Amino acid sequence: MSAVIEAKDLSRWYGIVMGLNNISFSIEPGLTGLVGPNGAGKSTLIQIITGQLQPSSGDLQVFGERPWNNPGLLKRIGYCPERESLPTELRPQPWLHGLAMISGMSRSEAWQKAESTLELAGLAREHWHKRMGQYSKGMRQRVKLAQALIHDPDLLILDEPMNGLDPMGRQEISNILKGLAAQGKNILISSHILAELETLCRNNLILNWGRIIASGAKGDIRTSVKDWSEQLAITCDQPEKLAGRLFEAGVLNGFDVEPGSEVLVIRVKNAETFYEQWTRLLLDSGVTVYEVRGQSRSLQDIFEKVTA
Amino acid sequence: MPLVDSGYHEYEGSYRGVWYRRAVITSAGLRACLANPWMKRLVTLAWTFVLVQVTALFFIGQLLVEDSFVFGLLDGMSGFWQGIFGGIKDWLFDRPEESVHFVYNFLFFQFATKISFVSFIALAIAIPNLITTDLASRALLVYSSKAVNRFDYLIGKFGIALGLLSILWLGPVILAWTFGNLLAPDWKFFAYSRDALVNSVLYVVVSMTILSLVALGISAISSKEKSTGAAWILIWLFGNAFIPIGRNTAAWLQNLSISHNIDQLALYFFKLRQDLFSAADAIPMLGQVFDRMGRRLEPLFMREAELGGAAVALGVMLLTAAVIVWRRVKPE
Repeated sequence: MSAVIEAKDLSRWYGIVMGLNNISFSIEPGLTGLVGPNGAGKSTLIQIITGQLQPSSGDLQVFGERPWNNPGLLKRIGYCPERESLPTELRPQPWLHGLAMISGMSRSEAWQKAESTLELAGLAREHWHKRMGQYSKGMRQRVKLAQALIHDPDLLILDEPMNGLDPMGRQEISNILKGLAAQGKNILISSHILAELETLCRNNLILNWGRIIASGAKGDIRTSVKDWSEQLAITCDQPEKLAGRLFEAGVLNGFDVEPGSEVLVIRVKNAETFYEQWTRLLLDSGVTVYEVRGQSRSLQDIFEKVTA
Repeated sequence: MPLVDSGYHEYEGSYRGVWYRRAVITSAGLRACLANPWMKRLVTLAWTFVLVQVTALFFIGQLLVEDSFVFGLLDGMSGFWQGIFGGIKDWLFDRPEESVHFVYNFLFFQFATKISFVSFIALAIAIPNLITTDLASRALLVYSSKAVNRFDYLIGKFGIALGLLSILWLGPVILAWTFGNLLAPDWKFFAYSRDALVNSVLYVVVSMTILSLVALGISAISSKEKSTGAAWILIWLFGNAFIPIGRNTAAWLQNLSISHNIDQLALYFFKLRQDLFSAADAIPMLGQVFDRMGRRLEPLFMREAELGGAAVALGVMLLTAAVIVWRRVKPE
């Protein structure tokens, strides 16, 4: 599968400040999450992908072409900025109509496209006659999504698209994005709501201080993260005793036991070594185990771990 | 069939070229400007001036028509005005080419320079619609993802200012000339008055271009609509205040006024001073009027063009506008 976005030794600095520091990565088709705290370099990366900034060194290609000063490529990219970018005195339909025409569509086709993208973005028709200045944050987000889609881009770049949406709205937008991805659109979403990215994106790119600290599917990221501890929940008759035996054997990073509970939560040092010794240690302890459950840790946990 | 159908359907039509996109920016901006009720009033005012100009040309033409109603009107005038119009009438009969050339050139100089104030006011209203509101809404960020780069955007915006001034300035000039000639007693008026049209068009087009570019610069100064509109009015009026000051002290101070510099272009293109001497020779009474006016009022049409200072000043203004636009109009 050829990469949608590919960066090699990409750097961008602003004076003496490094926005991106010699990063290389590749984004495959489909939905990809871009994760990172403020100042991580997400915006710089998005600006380079959307052709607003030129890399200081290295190379970034989208669909095999450099975005800088490349209108042909920009036609294939739809961008939904995080910052407000709506003319407040206009209504959404005429604005989208104008943007569709600026994208090269004829007048009549532009009207149809404006309507269909507004419907797709889930902005209820009763709000179409209002000026965008009167819109709630959630409604504005929908119009921004509609404008990003108006020219049928192959790659959608969405900067914090869920901001300001209520839980139902987030679910709706998630469904739209999943649908678009299923229809062959490539989508890069930057968000700080990691739980949403986790359910939405197969792959993620974690940035911090201008560097990529992890990338790929969640499982791959977990394996690639140094000192990552696998977490298991063990239900047994003597959790304290089992915890003590495992800790003595030196296979744990840590554990939690709720007083009065039969559940022991352990964080293993090295999964491979742990599973080699697990049966012997369990038999030695004489503890009766009822259930062992692997706890898949969230993207939030991974993010906290790698950005710590 | 996709696994999840979001209702999204690809556009299957063809995409238009970059000039179409620029024209879309221009037409959308023009529509927004013309929707302003004050702008509609200004358009009405500019086109009312056309009516006045055409009426004046019609009256002049009627001097060549025997038993015209104009002579009845002249009878009611004072001896002084009867003398002036009598002189023009004789001049039109004796040397029609020279006289029509002068009369049209003179009247179109007056017309084109006087209605420029409508354009200045119109730009004060239009300036926020050029770049200011887009800076506030960061529109370029969105435009750039529609394959419209900074240059295309600026061409589109420049088109708005140029289009507006064409409606308020160039259009009235061309229409007044056309209708004035259509109502003239002889088709030859078209040929005899061609210089008036060429001079007017040259002056108006060059001025429109300069004003549009400067307006773009002022529009990019701030993202606040009131600030940029007010900045244009201040620059215009503040500059005009230097004209009388400069006339009595340092002449270069006059070049701080954009109106003064534009007027110098008019004097340069029309070269009216030479025509005035010819007219004064042909109509002695007119010569006396010009002489008196020159000594007392020193009207614009009697002055020599001072193109050097004006060109330098306009160059500086354009350069400043270009720097402002280049620095301010960026996607982020």
